[in-house]
Amino acid sequence: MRALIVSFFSKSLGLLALFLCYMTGEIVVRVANLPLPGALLGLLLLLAALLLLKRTPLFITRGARPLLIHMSVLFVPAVCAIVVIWAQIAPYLMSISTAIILSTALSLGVTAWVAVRIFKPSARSCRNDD
Amino acid sequence: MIDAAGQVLAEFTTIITTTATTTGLIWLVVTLAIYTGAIWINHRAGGNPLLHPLLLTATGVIALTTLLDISISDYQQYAGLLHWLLGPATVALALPMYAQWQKVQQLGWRLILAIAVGGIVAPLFAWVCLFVADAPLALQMTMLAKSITTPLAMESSRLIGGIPALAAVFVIITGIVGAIVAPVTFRLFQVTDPQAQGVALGAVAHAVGTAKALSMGEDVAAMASLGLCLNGIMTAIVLPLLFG
Repeated sequence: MRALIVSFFSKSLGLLALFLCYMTGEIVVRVANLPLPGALLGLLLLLAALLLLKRTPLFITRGARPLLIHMSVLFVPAVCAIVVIWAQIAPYLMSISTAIILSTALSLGVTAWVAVRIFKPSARSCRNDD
Repeated sequence: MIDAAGQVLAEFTTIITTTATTTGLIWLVVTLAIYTGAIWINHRAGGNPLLHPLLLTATGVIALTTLLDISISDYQQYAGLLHWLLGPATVALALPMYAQWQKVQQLGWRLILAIAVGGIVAPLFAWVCLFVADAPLALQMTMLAKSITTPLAMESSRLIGGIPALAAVFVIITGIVGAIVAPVTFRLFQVTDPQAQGVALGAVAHAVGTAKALSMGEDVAAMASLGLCLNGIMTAIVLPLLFG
């Protein structure tokens, strides 16, 4: 029971920390009029904090896990708007599908092919490090 | 400063008060219930990317709102908390990024370069297709954000004159296509190196690609989460600077 309460509190504390990072990001972006998503600035803030701390506090991990695992459900309200804009995109359905399918397949291959060549010299030293 | 802080807080308060109404709570619970069912179906289908929980949940919600004759904008208001949580969820991406920090230091500029290739080539190909088809500018702009993780894609597309809702759909479909074609593509391009496969999956097919990478091995998945985070950050910074 006690473990449950402790885990609940550390999860809430972690969520609160993420909320604060996000809101700070939003506020700074608006005040400084930056062309950046506020959430991205929040991400960078948290990353900087973790790099300074040199570890991830357990409560942050606990707060972040449900958000990261179940991120999909957070997109539902936004994706539903497809119904509203359907008329706008319907005439371009063919070109949109072609664009997405072709570009994704091609760039996956090109990126991986280039990455193999870029990583090659360091790949050997990586293996020695392990 | 105080103005902006007040604005952000007021938005949050509105979301909480809308969610705390009976209708708000019902829609929240209904959405979560449909999502739980969607996860169950996806598991039963062996994680088939075509049956992505988001696609199933959205289809379920759209069907339900149509059936009950409720407008999507009303639904979006009631389920506003879910949408708002995308912000903190984006912030949470700092964790996988930090967990792979050693790899970032080890590979250095090589990593950045490899991810940048994916981050430039994918939207460029897609944009050319739409440009040739003479699609409206808003569609073209939206397409530019298609290969980064959804919360960043929606925000960046909004900043450059795209359509956030459409960005979300493009992103998810890109991820699904990527997860399906990846094995064949890697075979065609004769890429067997797990690090290279991982970077490509993360940079081009973001979270859905990273989920696929998980099934291809830990090494692939680690690189994929780096590709996802770094490309998301780089694209979200570059797009508004170029087109904002």
